[in-house]
Parts: sequence; C-alpha cells; structure tokens
Amino acid sequence: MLGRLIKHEWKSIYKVGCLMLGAMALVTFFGWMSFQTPMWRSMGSGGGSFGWLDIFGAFTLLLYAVLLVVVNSGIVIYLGVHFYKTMYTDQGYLLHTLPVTKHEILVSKILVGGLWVLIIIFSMYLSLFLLGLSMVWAVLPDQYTMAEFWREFRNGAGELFRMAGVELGIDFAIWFWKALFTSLITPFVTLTTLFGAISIGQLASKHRVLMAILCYVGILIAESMISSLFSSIVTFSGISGFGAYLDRSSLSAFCVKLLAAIGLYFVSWHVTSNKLNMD
Amino acid sequence: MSELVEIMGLTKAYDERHIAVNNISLKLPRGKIIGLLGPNGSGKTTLIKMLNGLLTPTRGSIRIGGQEPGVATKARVAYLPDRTYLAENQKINEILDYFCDFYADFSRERALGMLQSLGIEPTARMGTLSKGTKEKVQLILVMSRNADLYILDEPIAGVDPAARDYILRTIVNNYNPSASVLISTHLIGDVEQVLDEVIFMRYGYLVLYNSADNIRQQHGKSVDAYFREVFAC
Repeated sequence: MLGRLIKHEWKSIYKVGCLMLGAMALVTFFGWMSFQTPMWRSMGSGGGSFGWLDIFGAFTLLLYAVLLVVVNSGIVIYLGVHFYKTMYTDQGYLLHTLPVTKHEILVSKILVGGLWVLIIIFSMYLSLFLLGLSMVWAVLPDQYTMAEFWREFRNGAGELFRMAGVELGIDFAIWFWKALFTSLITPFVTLTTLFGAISIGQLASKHRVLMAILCYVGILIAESMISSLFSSIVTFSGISGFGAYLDRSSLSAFCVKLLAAIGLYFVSWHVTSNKLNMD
Repeated sequence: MSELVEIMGLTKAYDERHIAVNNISLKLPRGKIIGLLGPNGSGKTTLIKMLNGLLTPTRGSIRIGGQEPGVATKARVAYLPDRTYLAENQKINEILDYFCDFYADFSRERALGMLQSLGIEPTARMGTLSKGTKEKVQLILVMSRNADLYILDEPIAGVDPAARDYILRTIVNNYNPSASVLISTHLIGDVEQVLDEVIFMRYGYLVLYNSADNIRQQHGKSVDAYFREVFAC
C-alpha cells in the first residue's frame, strides 16, 4: 500500500511542484537579465559606466534574490498546508479511513514532500550556477572565450580546494561528501519536523493552526539553542582550527535536527494513531 | 460470529462537561439496515467517527467482525461522512482510480453505471459540481464497494426529495445481503421505509434499540411519529 500512497501523493503535489520549477526558471531569467546591462558589459572591457538601465539591473538582481527565497520557502509552506489539509481537515476523513497504517501515510508524505523540496533546492543550485555563468560571461574580457575560462577554472579549482583545505585544517573531499549527505537528508528532516509540529497542534482543542505554528517556532528555537550549546562545547574542547570547528559544529547542529525529527515522527504517529480527533 | 459490530461501554468525553457518547453498549447483527436516529447533538456522528477510527474513545471498546478499528476493519467498512472529503481539483475518474487502488472490494463498473444513470460525467472535476451532486458522487463511491458494513452519516440531508428516493434505492439495491447498513439521520420519515432496526440516541445515551416492526406494533404508530413523541421539545 505504501507504493500506492506514494503514487497518489505524488499526483496530488506534482502540479504545484512543477509550478514552482517554472517560477524558478522565471527567476533565473530575471537573474540573467540583470547581467545584460551596460555596466556589466563595460566591466569586461575595463571601463565602468552606470546608467538608468543599470539601476534596473540592480533591482532585477534584488528581485532574483527575493524570488529565490520565496520559491524555496514556498514549497515547504505549501507542503505544510497540504499535510494539514489532507490529514486534519475534511480530506482527512478519506485518508484516515483507508486500509493503510499510519506509518505508511506518514512515510509517503515525508518521502514525496522531501523529494520535491530536494528537486526545488537542486533547481536553486542550478539557477545560481547559471547566474554565475551569465555573470562570468558578462564580465569576461573580450580576448577570453568561455572555453578558455573553463580550462583555467578546471586547472585552478583543484589547487584552490586543496589550499583551502590546508588553510582550514580539513580534508576537503571528506567535507564535500559530508555536506552532500546532509544536503540530501535535510529536506526530509525539515518536513518531518514541520509535520510533527502540525500534529502536536492537533492536540489543542481550539486554534489548532495557531498552535501548530507556535509549536514549529518553538521547536526551531529549541533546536537552535541546543545546537549553540554543542557549538560552545566544541569551541572549548581543544580543536585544531577554524575548519574543524565549523565541521564539528555543523555536524552537531545536523545531529540535533535529525534526532528532533526522529522524535517528532513518532509524535506524529502517536497523534494520528492514538489521539486523532477529527472535528 | 453472528454479530457484526460489538460496542461495549463506549464513552467519548471531550471534557468533563461535554460527554458526546456516554457508556453505550450495542450489538449490531449482519444483514440489516439500521437507522441511527436522534436529534442534533445526540452523539450519532461521534459514535460513527469512533467506529471508523476517526475519534479515539475515552473508554470502552469497539469490535467490527471481531477486530478493533484499524487497517483490517477499514478494508471491510464503507463510510460516507456528513461532509465532502474529496479534493475540489480532483476529477471523478481520478477518484475512481484512488478507490480502485485502495479498496479491493471496489467495483469501478458499478460506480460508472451509477454515475451514468445519474447523468454525472466521470471527467468532471469535483469543484464544478453542485453540493447535491458531490454528495451523490460520494454515495456512489461508498455503495460501489462490496463491504461488510456500510456506515452512512446523513446521506440524504443535503439533497432534493427526488434525489433522496434515488439514494435510498441505491442503498437498498447495492448492498451485500450479508452486510449491514447503519444510516444516521434525523429525516426519519424519508428513510423509515427501508429500516429493519432502529437505534434512538439522546444526549449521548442509548435510548432505544428495537426493530422497526416492533415499534410500529407496540406503539401503534410509525417510527417517525414515535420519534417525535419520544423527542418532543
């Protein structure tokens, strides 16, 4: 039944998800436009002009940054609302009377929602990459081609990362894989935490949405405080350098979020299994 | 086991002053159409929600086919709530797919037949349908299952008299004879003709559980008239 739940959850979300991807493409287009103004072009040839069109370009870049945040947080907000609607409003009457376990319901929602957040984050990275590329393209001196730029970038990047690793006192390859792993897991952790907060909100007899929001804010504050505590402990535990400090404090913050998400998953399961009270 | 549903000492208290269902014990047999009757706020819907696992009882137990409400009972109980539980952006065809995927006892052919007889397009979106048509679609979904127990909460409350007749015919003609139908309503005059047994509830208590024929014989009046006498304001 889990497969069927995942299929139907995907079908109910994919349209909004695709809309978000479309928005991301539009946002990227705005970002690209901001680098097409004369100011950026004149930089490449060593000059420097600034006109009305450049003010427009600066605003477009600002708009790009704002829309990027809106799209990125928009998908999480949408998934939270979708979870609330399908679990705890009238639509929950259908979901909770299906012959499926509560674990199957929760896992399907976390997997599909997390995957969509991951897709949006990936599209955001792609957008930033394309923006960076358009900036390079705009400011590249006339005698340089993009092929030459890439050749130099490839040659220099490895050395740059090695030197940064030595300077920060970390193995850059290990750091990269750790960062990739946490990036892949974080969307699922974020949604499990959000769903847990929404479920706790259902324990209130009135104002359940408000309770859910307050609960989510409270959880984020508590996580932040515990992570800060761990960071302080790390700082005073004789670490070798700034890189190692960053590495350990980010790892401890991730562990705190992961443990909280695991706990909140079981809270959601308990609420839907033993404390479900549909209005 | 002859009894389909066994309810023992069932209580649902929202707080100390609001006891929606108070210490109810019942045994519902197979093969009957049972009316769950009572004025507004008598606890009918609360009882039905507990039967479907949508509310957690404060005390007592429920057994459907010998099992507590859960995955196994949900596979055998067809439930029509007193509200629209289908998303507005869904097409009827998509909802049929959904029911086919989750309920092994769902008959797509039966559902399409009933939709056709009511002139409802399977390609229509729920959001474009009137309130009455939405209720008909939901009833069709429920009655297209070959369940052991059909629980219908106010199935005729929001539809016109002509549609009421169709709905009652649908209920009588489409349920499995070894199954039971529990119909909650306060429109007793409309459903009385199809009822085998009657449950009266008031203020969360079970007032009466008897066959419709017995009520008519013992009191010399229709169930509707007797209900009005019992629950006179």
